[in-house]
Amino acid sequence: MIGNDIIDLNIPISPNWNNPRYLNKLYTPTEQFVIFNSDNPKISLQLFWTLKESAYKAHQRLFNLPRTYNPLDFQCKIISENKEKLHGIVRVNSYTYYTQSRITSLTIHSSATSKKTQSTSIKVFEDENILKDKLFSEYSLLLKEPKTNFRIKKKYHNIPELFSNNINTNQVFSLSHHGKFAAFAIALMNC
Amino acid sequence: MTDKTILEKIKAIVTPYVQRKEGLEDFDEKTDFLTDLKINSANLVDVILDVEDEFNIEIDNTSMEGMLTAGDAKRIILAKIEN
Repeated sequence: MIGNDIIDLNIPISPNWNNPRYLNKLYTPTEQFVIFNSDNPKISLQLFWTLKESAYKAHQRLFNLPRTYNPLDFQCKIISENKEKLHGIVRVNSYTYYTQSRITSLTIHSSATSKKTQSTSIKVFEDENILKDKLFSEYSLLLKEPKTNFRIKKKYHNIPELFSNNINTNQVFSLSHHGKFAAFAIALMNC
Repeated sequence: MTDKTILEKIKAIVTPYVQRKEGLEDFDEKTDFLTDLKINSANLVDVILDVEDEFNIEIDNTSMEGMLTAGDAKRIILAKIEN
């Protein structure tokens, strides 16, 4: 299963971001320690948010869970980082999700998968309005079908599903948008 | 405090975070903060802090988990005020 989340860094961070009441509702004490001991706490805080949100989406889809606002249940850890990517894990109950993130001067993007070896296609766009068209183009190539066949419907718990000629394709994907940015993450093998 | 007053205060609290303003036109108990008003999930906690300040209550994490609609918020506020 897969989830993803993007943050447009042009949108100001919450004015409450360093208020303990705010922090204690979203981040565990361990996460807060890591965030405030990093070189850039504001960026780390937002990075951890994208990890929680992307793992939440993957977890919700995996178990078809009703929506809930429980960010503290998703415990994040960065495992490795290089210039290109950060790899991490998010634990919720006894489940683990594997994350990869990319931070640029404009955005923070993370995706989470339930399988460590899941191959994915991840794309970020600077225009929210083209997201569905780009997703359909990608699936047109993958499924060898004209993209005009595709529709997205939200059936259960507000989770989007891809239909082709009104038949559910059961494809595993996740959409996200924030500010003027949008992104998708597609699982390339069914998971 | 009447239900109507509480809902009006909730509406005033969420308004700065709303990205889909037309969702405010028929604001009622069923209004969903995320799907109807398109409040970013990262801002939901700001709404919760503002609710705590406005009503002088503390919203614990279990209550926060279920605070997705105006009706949810109203019920949580009423329960906390009564305590």
